[in-house]
Amino acid sequence: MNNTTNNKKENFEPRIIAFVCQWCTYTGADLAGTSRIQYAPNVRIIKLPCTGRIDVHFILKAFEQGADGVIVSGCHPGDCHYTSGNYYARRRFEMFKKMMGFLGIDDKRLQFAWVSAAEGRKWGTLVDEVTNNVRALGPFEDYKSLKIFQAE
Amino acid sequence: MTTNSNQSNQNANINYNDLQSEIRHLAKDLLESKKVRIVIGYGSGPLNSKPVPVFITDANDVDRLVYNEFCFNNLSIYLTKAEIKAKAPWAIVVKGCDARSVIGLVVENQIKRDDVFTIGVSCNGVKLEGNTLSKCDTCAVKNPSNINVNKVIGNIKTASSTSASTLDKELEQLNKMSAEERFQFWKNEFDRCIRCYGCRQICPHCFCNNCIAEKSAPQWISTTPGSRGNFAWNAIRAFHLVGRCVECMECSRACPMGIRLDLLNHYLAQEVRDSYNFVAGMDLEQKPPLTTYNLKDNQDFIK
Amino acid sequence: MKNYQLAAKDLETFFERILSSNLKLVAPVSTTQHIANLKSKTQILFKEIPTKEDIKKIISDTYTDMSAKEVFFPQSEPVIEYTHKKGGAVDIKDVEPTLKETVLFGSRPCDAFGFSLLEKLFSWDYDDPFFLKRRDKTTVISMGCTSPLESCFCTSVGLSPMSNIGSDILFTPVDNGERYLIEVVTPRGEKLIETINGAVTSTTTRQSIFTDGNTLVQNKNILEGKVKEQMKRKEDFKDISDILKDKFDDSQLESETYRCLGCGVCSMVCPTCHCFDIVDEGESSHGYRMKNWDSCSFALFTKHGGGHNPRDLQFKRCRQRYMHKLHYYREKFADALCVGCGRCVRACPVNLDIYSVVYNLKKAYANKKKDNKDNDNV
Repeated sequence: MNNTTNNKKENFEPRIIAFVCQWCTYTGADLAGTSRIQYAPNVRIIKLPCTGRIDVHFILKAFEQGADGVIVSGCHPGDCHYTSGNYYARRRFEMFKKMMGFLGIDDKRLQFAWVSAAEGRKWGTLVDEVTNNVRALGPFEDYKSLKIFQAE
Repeated sequence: MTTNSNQSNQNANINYNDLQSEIRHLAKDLLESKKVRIVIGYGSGPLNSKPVPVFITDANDVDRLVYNEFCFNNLSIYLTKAEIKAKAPWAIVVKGCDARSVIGLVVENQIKRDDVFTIGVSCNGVKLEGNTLSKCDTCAVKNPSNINVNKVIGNIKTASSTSASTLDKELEQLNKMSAEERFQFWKNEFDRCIRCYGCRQICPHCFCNNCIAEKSAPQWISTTPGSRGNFAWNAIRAFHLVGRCVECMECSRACPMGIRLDLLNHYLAQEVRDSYNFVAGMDLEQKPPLTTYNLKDNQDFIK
Repeated sequence: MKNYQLAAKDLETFFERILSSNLKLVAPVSTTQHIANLKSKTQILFKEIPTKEDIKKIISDTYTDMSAKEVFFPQSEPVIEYTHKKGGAVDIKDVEPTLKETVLFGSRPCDAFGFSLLEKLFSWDYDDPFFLKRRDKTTVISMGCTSPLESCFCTSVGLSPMSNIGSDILFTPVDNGERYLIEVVTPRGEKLIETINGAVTSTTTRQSIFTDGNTLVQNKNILEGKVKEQMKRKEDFKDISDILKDKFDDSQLESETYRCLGCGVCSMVCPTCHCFDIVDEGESSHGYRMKNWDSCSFALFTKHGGGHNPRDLQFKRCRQRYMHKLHYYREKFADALCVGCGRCVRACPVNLDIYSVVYNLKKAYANKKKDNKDNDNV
């Protein structure tokens, strides 16, 4: 992704990638749409079977490819279509968020959420909130400074 | 990576000759009685003060086994190597920290507990180039009798250290920094990475036949030694070891560029301990925390 | 070629003049990082010396952790750049290496010999422009060794701690390090000396910092003999090529290399390992084809698309490394691909030691030969 157009902070529009589970959050986002709920258009949604399927590589790759913020969202505890996928994910993301914080990544750029199929409004609020937070932080220059090779 | 502590004085109390001859006797018995087919231990190396891993299959060769304060290698890495795996049952010389790796491998079903006879040697810290390794500061298994080993050799009694270890102090420093400063610190560290994968190859718990770094369709981690691929590789390596790393810090020692992997491992191990009350490699019954869950797990960070 | 001498105190002036002659200077520096109180392991690496203030950081007489081959053969470099244009056309262009007249200071005679081996390889069946152009633009100044390390074995491969093969200029510290004997080995070296002594601008001229060095040659020869004597590892590598040829399937080679873990440290630090991997990096719209160092120690090195790996076990990969270094390359180019710098010995996490492997193989072979002879007599 080419990000040259919105690199300036004043008219910066964050690029948010959302990895969502297909059973709850994706359907919730769908509901937000059919309910005509307005929310920030900065989010690009990627549908996956379950939060348990969301590998942390996806998140790193999103940052590498120019994302300024990442949302990971799925079913509430107890609601997982596969019974326990979100429980495993919860532990994984807790540790991942800690590690990223330790490596110096601002934790506002990485937001986890539970959004059910009935929570279209929550989805809209979540996206707005993350977009605003990331907009306040500015472009993710830190990660963008990581070049493929040194002399580039 | 190393500290000048006063442990060298305590080491004087350990009679390495006794430990060594006890190891040899035991190895001879095990091989002669055909309880094991191979003994993995330390042998004298080509350069002074650098013992090397040796593999003894003949009871007449046990005199090649040595033991001294420079035996820093974690030999359990060899248990998952194809050519040695085929030679089970094995006996292996382990320090407390290495014994934790063996337990970790058993817990993760890489080896069978009955296939391995662990010769647990009491250890008061190992030395590299004259300095005791900093991982030894807070070692809780100097005498491996409190973890699952087949035979304990030597009997040192050390009170667990009350002062903060060098690693803890450094971790505190790092946590005090701003996120920006920490990012620069780690960028600086990872930028030096030459992608020799020494950290992966020496890690007993990096046993995947196909490492994520070797997969090319899709390619998650750039193999080019640049900032981007290096950051991804080092982050993912550490993350894949969350709740599994026993902090033997062999990766840190193997790294030719001196990247502070020990700090990252130590941080994650502390977080795992605090969040899930789990310390890797101590218990044969407890599952690694990321392979299980609890209904009441913390979710403060989730909206 | 000429000999000069330089007083040790004038070495900084020498570096200053290199920089003021608009040359890129690469020399060993310590790279210890201090951020707050956190300290990384001390490392000595070849780095560019960008300004006069950095000259103080140069460690002139030292052993580096990485070899200097990356000056000519960087660990990672783009060879092709591609851009997808609108309408589906792809713009592909060669990446030209950025070249600047460079002075590499402080490599060891073993490193310099390594450059000459790499040069043979990179100009063998195909002229590799990346390597050869860089080599052409670089003046190599080596520093003779007066206190070799325990793991060094350059005399085993037919070198000496003060040999000049592959260098353009060789410095040797003589008279207890008070002055350097400067041996100019190639015309390129001579040109550098002229540049350094030459005019700065049309109005100011420099005073020569060099004096005649012929009187020091005798001192160097005595010193060279002494240092050679000091070296602990002296086993000659000459006949190992034939032994390895015979011992390809020998169990001894297997047991000697059994502990190899399959990391690529030895290849990365080696001044002569030159295998590389070609990978594409970037996005669908724009990216590069990269040339990155690779290592025959990696299982992936020979793994086929279908999953079969002809070198399926680690000792076979390790054997390949030794065979290539000590036998195959020698068959093709007459020299072994090992210069005795000992870096792999120092860096190996399980202390696998090419010298002791050769030593043990030679010893076993000699015994076997003797046994055979005894049997013949019976």
